[in-house]
Amino acid sequence: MFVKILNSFVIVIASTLLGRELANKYVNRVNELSALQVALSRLETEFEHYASHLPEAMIRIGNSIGGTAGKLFYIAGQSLTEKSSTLSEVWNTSLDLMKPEWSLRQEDSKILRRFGDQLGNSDREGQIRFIRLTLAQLHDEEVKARAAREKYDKMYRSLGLLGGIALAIILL
Amino acid sequence: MLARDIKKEPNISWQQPILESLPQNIQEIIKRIPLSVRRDLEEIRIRENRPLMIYSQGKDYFVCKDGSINSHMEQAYIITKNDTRNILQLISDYSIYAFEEELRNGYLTLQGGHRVGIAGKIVLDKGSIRTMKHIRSFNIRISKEIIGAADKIIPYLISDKKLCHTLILSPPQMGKTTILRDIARKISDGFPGFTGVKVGIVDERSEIAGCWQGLPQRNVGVRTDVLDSCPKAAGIMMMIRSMSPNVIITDEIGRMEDVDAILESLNAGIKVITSAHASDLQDAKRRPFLLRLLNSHVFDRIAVLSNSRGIGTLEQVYEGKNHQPLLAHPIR
Repeated sequence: MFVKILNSFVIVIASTLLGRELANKYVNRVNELSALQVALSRLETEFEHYASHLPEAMIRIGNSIGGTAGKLFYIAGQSLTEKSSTLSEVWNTSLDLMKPEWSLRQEDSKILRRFGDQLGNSDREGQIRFIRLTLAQLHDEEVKARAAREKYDKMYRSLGLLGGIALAIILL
Repeated sequence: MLARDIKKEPNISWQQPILESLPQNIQEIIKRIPLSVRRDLEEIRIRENRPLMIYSQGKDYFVCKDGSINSHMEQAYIITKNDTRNILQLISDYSIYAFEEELRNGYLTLQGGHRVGIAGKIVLDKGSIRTMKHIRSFNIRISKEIIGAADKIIPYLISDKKLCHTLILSPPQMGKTTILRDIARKISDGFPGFTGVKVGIVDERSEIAGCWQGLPQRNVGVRTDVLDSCPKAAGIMMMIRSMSPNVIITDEIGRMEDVDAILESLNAGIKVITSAHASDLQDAKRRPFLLRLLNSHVFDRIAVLSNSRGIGTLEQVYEGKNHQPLLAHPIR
């Protein structure tokens, strides 16, 4: 009997954790999208007011905002200082490196990749216009991500706990 | 080229910053150019869809993929669209947006003071140049400083242990900027018989000091301050007000307002050393703004450069007030 109760506990805990993990994906995506927007706004300021060079601006932003978005900027900025490949190559490689670490979906990555293709390729006005466009796109995705989070966050959490309990009862 | 040949190679000082501004594939080609030609390299010409070319020892060459050079374009390496795009990113440190002024002027300065001339499509805004896009041609000019280039001219610039107001006249490409730079270094550091003085360089085209991010990349002396990329007339006034120089050095005066600024600094008791495009004194007198300067008899010395005995020949030095020649024959 004792073993059975122990087993049930393990099942409930495991299933709750699984539910939380799935729910966290939705929470993290919202946070990452909003952090990316902060980073891009900072980049816009660097372009507009300081005319900073891209590698140093990226490293500075990466260091100050931290998190996965900060890491992306930091990695990209560092690789640019090596001057061995093109900007879009560096940006795409950095995105690939970050892929296992974040909860962004394919549509988010696509926006970021498009951003990398244009980065550093036009005059200041063009760059700022392009950052604003990317910011708007990321904002749209964030709105959608928030809606998804409202819907699925609680659902997966409850489903994890309740599913675990149901399974434990059946097995008892 | 074999690895052991690279090891044996003498250090070519210009190479590092220039190579860093080129994509890997072109870097490899340039590194393989025979040493004798590479050492005296003056220009690397890059034009999209056309052969890679270099200019060295007064001649131009086509460069093949293996670094060999010849005068036939058939085997030459053809620059691709990707190449020009990469070069633009590399020379601008991936930040072309931060170089608007440079794009308007048509050149960028690399670390080391080397200049890259660019050509593409000009974007106009109300009739004036706003920026440049579709940049397809690059002229990477390797600048070399020649320490000691001013040794011959310096004795004529000093009389009674005092520096003279000096105008250097020279056609283009005769070493005018090189000599001005070395004059700056010498009078700033001082030399036996002359104590160093404070020098202010107004470097409108970033050629004298070759500044990169405000830092002179050339030896312009310990007592020298540089206003980089600054219009001459405004810069001379700024220098006088803020840096209290004893001497102002500036390159290629070409406008009436430059003349006004120079006359103003003479009134402030500051020595001026400057240069202008002209092949000799007679030629200079045909240019209205130079005529005005010459007629006001403000210069103590007028030096004329030529290439009659090689680039940087000191053809003649005139006394500034009565235009009497001081040299018996050209020296180099």
